[in-house]
Amino acid sequence: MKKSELWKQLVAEVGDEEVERAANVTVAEAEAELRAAGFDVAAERAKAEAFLDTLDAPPKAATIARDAPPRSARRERRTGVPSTVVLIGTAVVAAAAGAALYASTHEPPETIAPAPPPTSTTPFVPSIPPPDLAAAAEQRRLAAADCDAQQWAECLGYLEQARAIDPAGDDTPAVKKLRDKAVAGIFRKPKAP
Amino acid sequence: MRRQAREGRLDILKPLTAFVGTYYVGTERLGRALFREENKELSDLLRKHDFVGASFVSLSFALKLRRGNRAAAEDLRGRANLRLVRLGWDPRVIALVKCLCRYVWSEHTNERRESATTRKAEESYLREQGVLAGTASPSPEDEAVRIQQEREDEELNEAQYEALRAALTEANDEVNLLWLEYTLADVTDLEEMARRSGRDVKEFYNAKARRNRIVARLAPMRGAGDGKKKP
Repeated sequence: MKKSELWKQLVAEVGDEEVERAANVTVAEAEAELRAAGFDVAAERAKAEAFLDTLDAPPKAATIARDAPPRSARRERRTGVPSTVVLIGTAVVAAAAGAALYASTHEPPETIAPAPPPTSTTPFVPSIPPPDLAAAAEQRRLAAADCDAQQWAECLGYLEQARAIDPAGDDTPAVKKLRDKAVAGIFRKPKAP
Repeated sequence: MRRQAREGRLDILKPLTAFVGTYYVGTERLGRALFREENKELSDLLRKHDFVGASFVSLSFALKLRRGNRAAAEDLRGRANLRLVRLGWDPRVIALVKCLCRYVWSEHTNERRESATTRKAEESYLREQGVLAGTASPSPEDEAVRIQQEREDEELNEAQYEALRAALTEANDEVNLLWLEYTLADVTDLEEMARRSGRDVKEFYNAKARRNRIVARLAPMRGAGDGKKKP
């Protein structure tokens, strides 16, 4: 048996014993122990209830409506849209939104010529919300940092997360280079001590 | 095209539903967040099994493991609850209170992964139930990450073994040092250990409690000071 396996076996054995002992404590005994240790038992009960309530009514981002398209489908729609075009589109929308905000919060100056009629009443919805791209960029920045630190697994983990958010960005030469470097790093034989 | 193939491989062994009967498979194996109905189903199941009461017991256990540090105990209990949502729970196999305590212990010892054996057994079960999709092999990236993690785990476990050995040497616990040597040589029968060492077998039986106390003390050291961010 290897030393590492023996350690794992010992931890598992001790864990089984400890868990068995702990699970045999009654709720009343546990409450008394917690009270004696200075816990507010009512507050702890409320926290446990709150955990269940969170499951009952999770925040929108943490759950999926059954009729929502799967992530892969959304990803497919994004595929093929060049990221530059998306960024330009996003910038235009942001500028338009800024202008609208400015117009709604400032007194218009007296005009000589009549104001032009509104061009459209339909709001423009960008195909990708800007936070997605920002999040993907942040994940890739972290990946690069981990790659520099030779934390190969962490680097790949961040790259995977970034790809899930922004698949198109995964095909850039810089990202490909990072991924290759991390994979090569992992497979490289560790240095002898 | 290449990406599609790769993503296809990432979708392996994922159950299609969060529940197989009353067995909640967990979001990690599911590979997605829960649908609203599944969230509700999970909270109903937990309420039915007195989650609040079980939570008191698991917090009390966490308090013991964290040596009376209330904030650390609450943090441990909270992470155990999240582990339940991520890794699942089968009410037919284990009581909720025991499952939560087991997750508290796992978080306490900073176990990063389930054992390969457990995972394989569960995947076989899911496959039998017809809830697994696809049979393709994992991507090279996933394999690379897995190999890296296994290597790190092995190094950490070996370091912990050496720490145990050092603690036993310091305590002059010859019987447990012998036990370690024999076990590494695949001699696991205590009678045989006693015969080979010329000691009373009772000494080997009594050594277990001392050994376990040290293991319990050393077990959480594995993750101590491990401030590394995890993606």
